[in-house]
Amino acid sequence: MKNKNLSKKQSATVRRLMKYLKPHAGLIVCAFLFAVITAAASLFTPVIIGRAVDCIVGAGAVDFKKLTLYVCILAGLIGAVMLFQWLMNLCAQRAAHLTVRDARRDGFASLIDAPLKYIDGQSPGDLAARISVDADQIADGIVQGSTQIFMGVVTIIGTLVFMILINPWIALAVAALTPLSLLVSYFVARGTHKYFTQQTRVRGELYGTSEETIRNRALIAAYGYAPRAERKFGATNDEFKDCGFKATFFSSLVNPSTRLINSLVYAVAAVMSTVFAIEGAVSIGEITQLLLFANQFARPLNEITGVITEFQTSLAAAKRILDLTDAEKQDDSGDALQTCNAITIDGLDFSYTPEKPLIQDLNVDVPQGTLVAIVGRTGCGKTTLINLLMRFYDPDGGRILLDGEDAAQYTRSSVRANFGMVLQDSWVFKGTVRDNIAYGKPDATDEEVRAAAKAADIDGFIERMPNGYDTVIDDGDGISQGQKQLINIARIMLTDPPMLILDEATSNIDTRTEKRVQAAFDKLLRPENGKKKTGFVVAHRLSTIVNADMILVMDSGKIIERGTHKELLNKNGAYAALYKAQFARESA
Amino acid sequence: MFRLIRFLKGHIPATIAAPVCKLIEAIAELAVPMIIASVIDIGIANSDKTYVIKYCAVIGALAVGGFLISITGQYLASKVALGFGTRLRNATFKHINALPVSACDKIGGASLVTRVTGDVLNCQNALNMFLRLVLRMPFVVIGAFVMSMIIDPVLSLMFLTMTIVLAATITCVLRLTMPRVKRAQKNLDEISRNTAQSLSGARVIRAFSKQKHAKTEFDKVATATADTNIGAARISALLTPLTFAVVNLAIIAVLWFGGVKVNIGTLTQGETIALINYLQQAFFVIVNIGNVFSVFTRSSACAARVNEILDMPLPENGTLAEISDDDCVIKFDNVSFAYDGDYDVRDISFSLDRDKTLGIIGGTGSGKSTLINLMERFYTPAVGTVEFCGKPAAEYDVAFMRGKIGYVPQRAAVLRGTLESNLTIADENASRERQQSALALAQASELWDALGPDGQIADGGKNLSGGQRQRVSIARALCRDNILYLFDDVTSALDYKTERDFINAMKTVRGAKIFVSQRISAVSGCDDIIVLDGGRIVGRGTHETLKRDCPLYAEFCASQSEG
Repeated sequence: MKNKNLSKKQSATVRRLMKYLKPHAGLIVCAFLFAVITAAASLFTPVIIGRAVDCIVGAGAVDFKKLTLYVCILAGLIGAVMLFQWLMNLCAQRAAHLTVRDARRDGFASLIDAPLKYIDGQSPGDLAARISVDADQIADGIVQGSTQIFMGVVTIIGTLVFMILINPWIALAVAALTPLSLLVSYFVARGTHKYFTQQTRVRGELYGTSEETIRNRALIAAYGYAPRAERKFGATNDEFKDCGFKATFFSSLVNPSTRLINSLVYAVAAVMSTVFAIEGAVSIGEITQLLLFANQFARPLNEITGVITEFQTSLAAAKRILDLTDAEKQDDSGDALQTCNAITIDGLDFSYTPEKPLIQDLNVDVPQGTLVAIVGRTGCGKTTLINLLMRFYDPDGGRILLDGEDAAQYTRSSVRANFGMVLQDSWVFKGTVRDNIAYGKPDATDEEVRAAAKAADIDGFIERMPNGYDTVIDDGDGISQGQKQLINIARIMLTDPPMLILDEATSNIDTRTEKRVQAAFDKLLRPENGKKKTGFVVAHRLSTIVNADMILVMDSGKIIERGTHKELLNKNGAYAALYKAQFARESA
Repeated sequence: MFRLIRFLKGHIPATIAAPVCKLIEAIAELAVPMIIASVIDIGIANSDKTYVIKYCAVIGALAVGGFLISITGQYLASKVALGFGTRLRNATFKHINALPVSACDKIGGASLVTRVTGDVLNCQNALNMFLRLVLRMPFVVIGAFVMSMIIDPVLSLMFLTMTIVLAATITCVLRLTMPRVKRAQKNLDEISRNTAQSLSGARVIRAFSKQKHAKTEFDKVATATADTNIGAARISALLTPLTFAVVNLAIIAVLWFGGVKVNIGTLTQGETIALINYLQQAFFVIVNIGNVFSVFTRSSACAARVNEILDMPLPENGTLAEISDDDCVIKFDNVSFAYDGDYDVRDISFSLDRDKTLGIIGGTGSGKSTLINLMERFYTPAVGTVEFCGKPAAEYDVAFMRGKIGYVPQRAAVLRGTLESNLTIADENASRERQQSALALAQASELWDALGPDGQIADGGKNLSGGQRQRVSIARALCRDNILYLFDDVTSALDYKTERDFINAMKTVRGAKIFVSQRISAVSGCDDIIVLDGGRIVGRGTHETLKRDCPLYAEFCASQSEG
């Protein structure tokens, strides 16, 4: 039954899921075993009830000896069903949740180990949903699959066997008629499916319209757009009323129609068994048994459609999380790079998509202690260059030389350890301020952490927080973008790497905080006692880069101008034009 | 929940008829065990085949009749539920649109969306379920009980005991499970949060080579989730075995005491069977009560959330719908305002004459956008008055007044649709020429050339760059004639050259204009400039005078130019 309804793709997913189930095979086998025992024991209950009914024929004709025996057996059966059903559930649930944990772990690990190329191409919300909600769905599927389906099969076969033993003709009639209910529910479900798909689509539209309207409510209020928005919403709503009604009504037909078939089967079983009883072929107790069985026989069949749907949903969810583990793992082999201070970019080529070449034949020589500023319009390749320096992406051609040696021969981690990087989107994780600052150096002492915070000019703010350095912060609330950025800078201050990368690090911050951030950067780049650091700065505001030793003006992946601020102004080219536009008011 | 009954208007007959149908179906169902009992006790006892076949045919007929009446009930219930849901959804949506913009602040946009979609849908589904089950469920339980009373009053006590024990068992198990399920839900949120965090920090994690650390942290959460779920399952797994035990113990009791009674002749064999059947019928209903109960609990919470919206008062509105030819377009007279608690802007006074320009500059959180919100009447001042064209703003019909103001918000908003449908939001009848020239003024002619008026705009303008979105948003305001234009930091996504061209182009447009910005370059050319800091005006004048007299303004100049 199970395999017939699964397509090839699904059975591939099942096979992959099996790999995760394997370590918990013991639990699954136990669940199966307990399911068989539970199903068998519950099958015997109607039999015993029927036998007991046969003991109470009429006044003065009650066989109490036998009745006592049956009642005791019944009690034993109930006890067995209780115990084994509970155990069965425990085993199945345990196996399910442990499997989910393992799948989650692997899915997450592959996200962490995947090249950034993989992550940048996906929606983070979708990835998070796969690991959280989708994985949860697998558990339901495993529990259902290992208990319900198995129990259902045992119950159906067992019931049939018992009925045949009592009276083969009645058993035949019931067995022949019951699949009718399956057929009916199948047809109803197929009809419903169409309306449900439609309903889901229209519901999505309703959601979209209301979300858009509410998100833009200021705009809508300002321009009196509400009546038009309401008309649009009303039209979608009417459509929803129509297909929603159909979906609701048709799906609500399943229960009455299967109930109808079952009642008819019941009536047939009742007629046949009573007629046989009159002829003496069946006892009254056996009528009770047959009627109980007739009811019981249909139930797993009716439920199995639901179970299979659930199972398929879980498989789809399982596929989504297991697909993550297909992601390529970025290798990190090579020699360990110690420290490096000078960089040479030699004939670098790179593109995100082969059709759109981005960086072409880029050559730059950056001696130790040079501060390089990169300017240019959005999309000119500034951030891409940073991605390549950090080895987040690999070049298509050319080399990046670190102190004269090809960066590709070193491990990625050791190359990255040489750079302190601050990006436009500052990042803090949920944890204490101390842990956030000591992220790159977990064994730092309190004094070191404090010194780094002081250097980044964030110490005062931290001290004012409710628990000082032990305050738990989160990416969401409580602290501003600027403060987050200062924490990111303190993090770099603490590790004190030989080279620095600052990518639009101040563009999300208001002007006054920016000055503090800028001062912190200056301290990083030009430490009071130490030697000057090699640094790369990408900036929107030209004021932050006029002091650079070398300015690279980029356009469409190429360097179109290079030199110091003064040299480039004198050249009166692209840089001079950019600079003048920014300070247009001076000339206006 | 019952307060939403008013949305049932027009569906009252169906609302009553649907449960009645389901009731009739239940009666048909309850008759079956009685018929079987008489078939056994009379038909078989007398070896009367005709009697047996006749009564079994009645069972079949009851099944068909029950089916027909049941689907009628389902039809009516679906009709009522969808009618109710549609009406409630429209009303809630309309009410949200009529609420002051500030209403969003307290509840939050995401929550408003959930209320108008998910919560209303939950109420609709609960109503559907209610109509189907409200009479049926208690009727089956009570009916089965009454039937068993008729058969044997003493044995029906067994029935009562079973019902109570069953209800108690279900309640206990659910009570014990609930907190664990909630904890599991929290764990799930934590997994989601942790993953999202690791994705947003993908670069930093790699830069510091903290991959291992990230995995260990995630492992902890994943393991905790598995443990919580397994713990919850340990208890919830008791539910089915326990209920199974309760109903079967009741059957044992009926068999035993029934045996005693049959022996002395006060009960028949068929009646014993009927009693067992009624026990089972009631059992199936009671087991589902927990389910139904949780649906209703959830939906009553949803109904409360919807009601909360519907109960929010609509803002007061003025009636004035004409503009005097007063020279002063907008005037703030000693205005203070607080979103919550402390004043966000304080003692603001200024005025702006027709066709003049005003610049407002200040850092993040200095109160710039608040002033704009007060002019658009998204908020009402706590102290002082805002005047529009010589009359207090509150006296105007708000839609009329907003119709005279071209407002361009800080966060450029574009709607899903076409370029044209976005441009004509301000004026439905704006001509294509007008749209094209508005785009030209907004420095976005290339967009018209590239997309054309029918060019599709994705939800949230995802297929446009930040700068393009902002310019469409500007062009929209320019598609109709306004007395006043409010540009709230609209040039932040534009490069300096485009910004300058835009400001120059605005000189050719009639109407008073207010430019709000953090950038000196956006306000320096204005006739009058206000410098805001901490919600107060700390400087006012022209670029030249402020540069000299206002230290903060000079600081802005320094940090943005001569740095």
